[in-house]
Amino acid sequence: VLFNSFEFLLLLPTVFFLYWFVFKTLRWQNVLLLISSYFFYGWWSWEFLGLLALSTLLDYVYGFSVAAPNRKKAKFFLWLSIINNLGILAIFKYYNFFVLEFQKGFELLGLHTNPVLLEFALPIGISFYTFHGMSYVFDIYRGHQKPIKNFVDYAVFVSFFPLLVAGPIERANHLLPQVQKVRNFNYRQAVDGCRLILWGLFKKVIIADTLAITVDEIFTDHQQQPALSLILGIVSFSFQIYGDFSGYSDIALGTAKLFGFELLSNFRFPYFSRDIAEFWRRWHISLSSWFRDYLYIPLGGSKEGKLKAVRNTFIIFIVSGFWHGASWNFITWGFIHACGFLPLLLWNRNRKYISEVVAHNRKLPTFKEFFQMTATFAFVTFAWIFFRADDWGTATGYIQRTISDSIQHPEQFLHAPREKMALVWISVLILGDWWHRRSERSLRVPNNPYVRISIYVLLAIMVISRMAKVDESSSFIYFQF
Amino acid sequence: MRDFIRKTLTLLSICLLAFITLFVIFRYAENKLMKCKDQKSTFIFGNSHAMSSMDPDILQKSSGTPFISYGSNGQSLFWAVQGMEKRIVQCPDARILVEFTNNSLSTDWWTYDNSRMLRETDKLYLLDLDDWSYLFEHNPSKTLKLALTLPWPSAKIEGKYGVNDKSRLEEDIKEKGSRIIVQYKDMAEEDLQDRGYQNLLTLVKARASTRFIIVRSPMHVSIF
Repeated sequence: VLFNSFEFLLLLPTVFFLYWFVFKTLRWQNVLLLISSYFFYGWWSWEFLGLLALSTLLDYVYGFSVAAPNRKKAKFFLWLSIINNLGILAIFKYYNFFVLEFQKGFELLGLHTNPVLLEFALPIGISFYTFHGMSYVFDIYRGHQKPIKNFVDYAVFVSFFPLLVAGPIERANHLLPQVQKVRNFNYRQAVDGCRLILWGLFKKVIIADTLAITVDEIFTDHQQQPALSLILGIVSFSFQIYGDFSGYSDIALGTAKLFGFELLSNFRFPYFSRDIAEFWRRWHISLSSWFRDYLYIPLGGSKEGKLKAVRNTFIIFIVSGFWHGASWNFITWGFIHACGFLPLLLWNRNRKYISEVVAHNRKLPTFKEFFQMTATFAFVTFAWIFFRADDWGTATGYIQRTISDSIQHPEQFLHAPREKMALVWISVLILGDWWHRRSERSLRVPNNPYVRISIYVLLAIMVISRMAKVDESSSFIYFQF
Repeated sequence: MRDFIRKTLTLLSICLLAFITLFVIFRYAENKLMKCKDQKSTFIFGNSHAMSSMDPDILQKSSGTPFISYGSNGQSLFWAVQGMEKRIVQCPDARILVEFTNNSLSTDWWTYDNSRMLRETDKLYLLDLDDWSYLFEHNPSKTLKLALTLPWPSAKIEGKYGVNDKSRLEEDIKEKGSRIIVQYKDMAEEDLQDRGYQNLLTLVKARASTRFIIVRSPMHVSIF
């Protein structure tokens, strides 16, 4: 069930009612959450429920095996678990990519092959729930977590419906204690949850989906578009993907709050970052911290000299790109970010902005901060071209056309762009984020009750009316990963 | 918990009230926007047949009075009648050219086809309770979605004149009915109420000053 569908808006209160009024004990609440999660997932595709259950069961069993006092035996099972999890991903997500790449390689050598391709849809959320399971096994192996006996509790951790299909990627030591602890209804938490759901829906349904129309038009027909439209097209995509994914994360966090859970933050106003390192501390935080803890640090991190730090940085960025999808586009996207990170790493400036958001105690940023934010945004936006384009050729064609048309027709930059509505929604998102930047986990609303209620009503009417007008709810971009 | 539920329900009630208020304001604004420019106008209504076989420019030149085409691809008679209502409210003395074929009846189920139903939001203001119950009976979830849309007031009724220049296919020249069964098995086999025709009849009877011209236009111009 998509968060931005009427089905979800009807099912959520039903589960909420059953959770707090009918299934009052912890054990039954967890059973309800598990059934609801499988129901929500199965609504999209019941065929892949078996895969989810199998993945959950395997990691549950490996959890006991890697806790064995015999470290050799534990290590063996750890590797078995890694092979299992990555094997699932390799088959369902990367098989066709590798087969086709090998075929191209053989053809270069003059050998013609006729490979068998798998023809089914990618199981939704596969990258997210396998990473949940892997983090559980890793944490047990490292001694940060004990294996849990109750299978239902573990299955809820892996498949909790707000985060099942697009994260945030939770950690066992953060979410499992919440699953095992008695949860009491908290008024403040529930209100915060509702606000987050409303703001998330606004970002997705109103901003991201409106920008998607402009972006799709421009990318589909990019060879005929003027440079100004191409620039606005990719800027619009920067905000579309942000509205889409952060909107999803807000709804996930908000929904979890309604059931007494606190999930990890996934976004902290990434477009206000002053350098690429800060951007990655603010964008898709649960994924970047996952790669940091389970890949970058085990590889040696930055503690074993500059050369190894550079190597490890490139590895995690490229793997992160590949995690998003089996295509050279995503690998290039990761590589570009690694290149952007490199100078900061070499000059030891990658940990300069680690805590407070820009202009934390001021209303406006300084000129220098503004310049830093703009430069970071421009870099990130350039990299998004590879993320959005259907293939490598489209991405390079898009860049070439932007440059050549800018040179041939520089006068176009003196006129107002055609995509004015896109600029309006981008401005709304920037202003909304700027207003919220000090309160990252809830919708900041004025104290005056009349103003507050007016904002809620306005947002709700806009969202509902828009959701009703479209025939099919548009999927979230990150569902495909 | 009680406080949370009470406040949530209060907020939902306020939302509903605000929605209804906006609906009324928008309808009022739309009536103002829809003011008739020329009472001698002729409005063309119908589906793709009207859209592709009646050119308002040619008709205007030959008659000397304004012609506007609201013919729209795949538009059922039900929604064409809602569009007529919308125009007649402000232009009671206008002429209405209604394209009507055997197709008009057999395609009226398009009224509640998912995508076609939801694109007709600009005609929502003309639906009466009877129409709503008719739609609800056939497709409750889409009707609820339709009820929750809040179209911005506009004088525009979807429609245009267009020439179909697609190449002729063998199946196109067969009666549409046979194609419907092939394409939409589940819906075409239902015994549907002929509401579009009834609505048109009711409208013609109720609007004495408006002249209705019902024509049977051929299939798309490229076909005949």
